[in-house]
Amino acid sequence: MTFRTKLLLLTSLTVAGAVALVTGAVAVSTRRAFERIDVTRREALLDQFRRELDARGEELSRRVEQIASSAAIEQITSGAAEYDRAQAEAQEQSLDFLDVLQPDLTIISSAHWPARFGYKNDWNIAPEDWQATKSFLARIPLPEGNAVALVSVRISSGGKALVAGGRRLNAELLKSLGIAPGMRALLWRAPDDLIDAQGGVQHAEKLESLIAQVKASGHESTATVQWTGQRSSSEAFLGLPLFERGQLMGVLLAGTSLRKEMDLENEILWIGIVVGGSGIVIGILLGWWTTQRVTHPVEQLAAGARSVAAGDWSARVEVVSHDEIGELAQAFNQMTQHLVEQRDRAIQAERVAAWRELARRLAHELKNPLFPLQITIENLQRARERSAAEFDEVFREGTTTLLAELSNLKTIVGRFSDFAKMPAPQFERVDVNELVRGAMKLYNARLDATISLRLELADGELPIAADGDQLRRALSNLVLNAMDAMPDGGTLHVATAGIEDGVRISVADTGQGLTPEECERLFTPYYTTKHHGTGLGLAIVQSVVSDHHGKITVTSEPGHGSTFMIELPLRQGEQI
Amino acid sequence: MGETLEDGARAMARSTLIHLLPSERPHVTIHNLTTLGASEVSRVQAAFERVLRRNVRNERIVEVTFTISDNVKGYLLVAEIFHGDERAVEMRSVPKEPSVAPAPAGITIAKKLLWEQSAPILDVALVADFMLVLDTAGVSRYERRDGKWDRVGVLPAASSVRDPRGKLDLAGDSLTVQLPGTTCRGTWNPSVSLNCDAGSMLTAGRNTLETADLPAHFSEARTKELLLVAEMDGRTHVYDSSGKSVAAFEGWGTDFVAIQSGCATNRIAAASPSYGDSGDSIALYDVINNAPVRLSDPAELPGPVTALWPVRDGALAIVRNVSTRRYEAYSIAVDCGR
Amino acid sequence: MRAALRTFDPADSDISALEARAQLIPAVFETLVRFDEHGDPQPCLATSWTHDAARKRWVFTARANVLLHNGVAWSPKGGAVEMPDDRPLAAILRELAQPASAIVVRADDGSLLGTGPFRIAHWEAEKSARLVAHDGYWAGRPFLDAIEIRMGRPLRDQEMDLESGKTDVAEILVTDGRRLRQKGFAISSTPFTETLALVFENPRVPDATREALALSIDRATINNVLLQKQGEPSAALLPRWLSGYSFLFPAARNVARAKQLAASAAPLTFAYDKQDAILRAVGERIAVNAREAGIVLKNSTGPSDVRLVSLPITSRDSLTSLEGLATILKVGLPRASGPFETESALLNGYRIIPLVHLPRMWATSGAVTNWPRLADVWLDVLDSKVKP
Repeated sequence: MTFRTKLLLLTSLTVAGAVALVTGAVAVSTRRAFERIDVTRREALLDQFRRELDARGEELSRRVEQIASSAAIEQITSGAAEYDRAQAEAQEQSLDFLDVLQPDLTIISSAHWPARFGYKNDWNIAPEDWQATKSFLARIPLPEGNAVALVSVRISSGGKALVAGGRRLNAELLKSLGIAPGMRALLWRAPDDLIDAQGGVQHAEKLESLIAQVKASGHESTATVQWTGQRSSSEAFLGLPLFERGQLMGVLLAGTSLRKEMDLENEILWIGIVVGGSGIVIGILLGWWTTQRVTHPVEQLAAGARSVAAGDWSARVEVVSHDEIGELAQAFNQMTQHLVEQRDRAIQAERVAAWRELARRLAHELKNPLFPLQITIENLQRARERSAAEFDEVFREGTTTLLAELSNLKTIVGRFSDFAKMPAPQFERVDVNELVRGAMKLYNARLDATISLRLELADGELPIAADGDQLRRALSNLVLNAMDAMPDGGTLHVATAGIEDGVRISVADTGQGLTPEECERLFTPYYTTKHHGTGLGLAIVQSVVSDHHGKITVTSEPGHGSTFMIELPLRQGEQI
Repeated sequence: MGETLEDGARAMARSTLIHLLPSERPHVTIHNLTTLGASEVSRVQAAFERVLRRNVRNERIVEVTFTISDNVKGYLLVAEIFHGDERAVEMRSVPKEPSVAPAPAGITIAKKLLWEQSAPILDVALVADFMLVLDTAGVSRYERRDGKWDRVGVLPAASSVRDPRGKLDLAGDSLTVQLPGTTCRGTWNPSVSLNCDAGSMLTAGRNTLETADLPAHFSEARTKELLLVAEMDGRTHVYDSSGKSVAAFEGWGTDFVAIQSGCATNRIAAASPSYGDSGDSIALYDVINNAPVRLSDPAELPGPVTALWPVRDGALAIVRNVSTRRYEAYSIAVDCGR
Repeated sequence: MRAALRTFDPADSDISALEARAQLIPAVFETLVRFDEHGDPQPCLATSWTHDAARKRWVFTARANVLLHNGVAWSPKGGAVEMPDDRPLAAILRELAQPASAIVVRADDGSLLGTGPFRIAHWEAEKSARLVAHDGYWAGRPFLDAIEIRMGRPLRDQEMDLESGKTDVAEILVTDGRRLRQKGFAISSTPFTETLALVFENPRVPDATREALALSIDRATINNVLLQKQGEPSAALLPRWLSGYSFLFPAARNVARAKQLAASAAPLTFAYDKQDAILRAVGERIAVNAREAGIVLKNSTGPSDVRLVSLPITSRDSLTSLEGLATILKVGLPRASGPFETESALLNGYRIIPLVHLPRMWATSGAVTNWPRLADVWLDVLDSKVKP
């Protein structure tokens, strides 16, 4: 993740977090306020319901009293009227239920269930009801089920009969309650019927669990119901059980629509989102502008550093500001300036060192043959002074030695000359495995009992485009070096392997190994760890590898030997 | 006559015995679902039980329920014999008599065939050797010669009314003929000669009577204190001397007349339908406590009575013989007997 | 009338309006033989009948001077109607007395001609009919000139027509008689000619449940209260005035036994014509009685387990009436020796539970007398006084 991205994220998160916190706090506070209002309104509704029920009860008692004192009741009780005469009376007084009863509660005439005459009334009427002025709730059996009604009982004026009348608890009752907007009252009537002020309730099953809870506990309970898939359709309900004589007659449900609350919450949320979103956008823009100003110089610095790492020590960074970034850029430029200077000095020093080393090596190489030359010539001078016979012998020995040492000198010069003017490689198809095998045959004779050869060649052929001679030469140098590194014996491991688009040749020894500094300077011409030699062997190897567009590496650890790996491509241009 | 109820009860008992083992003795419970009086029911029960009576050793009591019921055809005697939960049923139909109440001794109805013909007779009047027959074709005058009646004249006065009625009233030689809606006056002797005008005690186009103080009715009869009227609802209404309705009963048909003769004075001869294949019967009744009480045995007639008119010392009954399909005129007289 | 006749053809086997057909068809189409008020066959268009020596062939002598409705004399070949039939005479006469055996002649225009006191002047199936007096009727022209019949008319509408003078005769419920009499109308009634009964349409209802339902019904209260004592509570199909033995079928209520039999009985669907006030009141009461015994009857409008129906008694002959009931109920008439055995076989198993016998009742304006004997009905032109 870039610095710019991190900065942007940080800015955005900060803004969003702040907005979310504020939004949440406002929403919670709003909800609490709504809840307090709801509680107050529900209690008002319940009070109103109770008052309305009482008022209706009084009205009902008055109507029942009228029927009880009417002449029709005399006719009914005397048998002069038809069995369903009570229907007319009930209709006149707008009663839903009416039973005219004998004192033992046997039905004489029933308005709502005329066929029940002769059977006992089962509204749970107690003797005290006849005298009481208050109405009560009762469950009225009907052919199609039960109904819940407000009921009142009076004695007929003749004293021979009871008149029990009732009116359903129905939508009318709920309609008559003055309910605040956003609220409504529902009535669940035993055994299983739910109504509101308009009549039946849709999706009544959603209230089943609340009603069941009230029924089971016998106490008030609350629940929130979501009517549709939208949260704003939610409604909070308080259920109040209506008991009469130990029997649950119904449950009054006071519902408050949560739409406004939800809408407000949504509004708050949306505002929060908008503000937050805007904040994030602004933050992004701001961040982008900021990071642009901050990270661009840093990127430049990073690019410059990458250039330096790639070797271009002349990389410079533009200094556009005078702040810390500007100072950093300036310091970078200074650093690279110093690095270039140091590199130049180092190159020069190395060059001097290499020339010094070459001179030392030359001096060393030349010194050996030159000393015998000097001794031989001195011997010749002495021998001439002594005798002619001694001079002839010394002259013969001496010229032989002179010629040998001159040949040695010539070899040394030739070696240096060779290195100076190594020819360009002639590429042809070369099987590396064959080449290695061929090369190793030459050295079989030189491998003595102390050095064992482990040859690990890849299967089949390993054809590449290469100059066979040069490659052979490079390989020979590596093998010789490896053998030289094991004066006390060891294992020489030569291996070939095919790699992607190339081959690898590795030559490993189990000699004393190299230090890291030695590894570094290994391929420097005339650098050698050997006590003899020109130090050109590895340089020649590196030159050959370089001409083949390959790579040579060395891994080594002091005391554990070294491994040289040459990686060569399969092709050189279009050749194979 | 057909089988009486007692006969039927005895036959039922014999059928019931078939369901009883020799060691079983029946315990009879009787039910009466008819209008038979208690005394009659007792007689029937006695007749039933008499046949069932038996002396049995080591008897086992079997419950028998004997029910006197009735249906359209007459009486139905039903015996249920219960052996545990099993029930056997025997039934016997007994045609109904007009009345099984015993007639008072002596009074009988005597009927005498006066005339019969195929055309519907409306009325017949006899004077010495002359006879006037009012039928649907008109008035025919007959003279008895050598024991036979010869027609000596006819005055066409066709009536196409369904169930027509007509009345002859003779006073000397004058003749009044009442037809539905028309009254014809004239003479019958030496020949029938009539002039007809609209208006009659018989309602025009129908079979009812209509008088000044009574709306359409079928028959009326006055006794000393009562007026009986066969009204349109099929019942006989009883009015007292002030005209107030005091009772109404069923049982008589639409034809009855008051008899003013001997022991039958101020009594009513009424034609009643009889149950069975035969026709109506006529009996003499008194009205006591506003209800009819039969005084004589009924006189069976060979068919339904189509007209019943009071005549001096009796009544004239016109009957349609179901067997011959001819109309017969009978004089009805009350024999006060011993 | 309530009934809506599909056709006036006596041969039609429509059982839906049997009572109305039994009243009207004999007024137009007569049979060789008819039952009198005692249920005995009497001559009608045949004046006598004899059989050949082998009792396999019957000859019914045709009544003379009988005119068809088009004025043409009815004169069967040889003056008699012959039929080969070796059944007992009683069975033959019973069949000949049925409306389906009426003498009907098809005119060239396809109309039906009879010999009865009225002829069809106008016929609109299920809607209206006009019968006019047959002037040439052999027993005398009827008093009435014409009878206008409006069919398919609900009782309430008939009463309104009567009150407004649009009709002279209206069918009424037995429970309306008292009320209408108080309004000044005359009430005519027949003997009990209807039997209210429960009929099980579902053969899979267990025997015990059927018996339980039968035992749970309080017939006495139904008759005394709902029917204002106008009926005769009975467990028999035929009323006592017809059969004489209706009391042999036990009608006593036994709720305790019913509860035992109905233990764990499944609810039954129960149907009846809710437009009929009598059936509705009785049906509701039966449901209450059944509930007391533990049987739940649930109202249904379509096919149901049990149905409350009104069965017409259309003949004064017991066997003929039972045949008619078997046809209506779509059950085979059991072969048995007499009416009691036949009726017992029909009622066996409680598949039919008779409840109460009712009369047919009409309210008539003061102008009408002799209703429902159509041939004898008289209509006063002036409104006469009818004593209430």
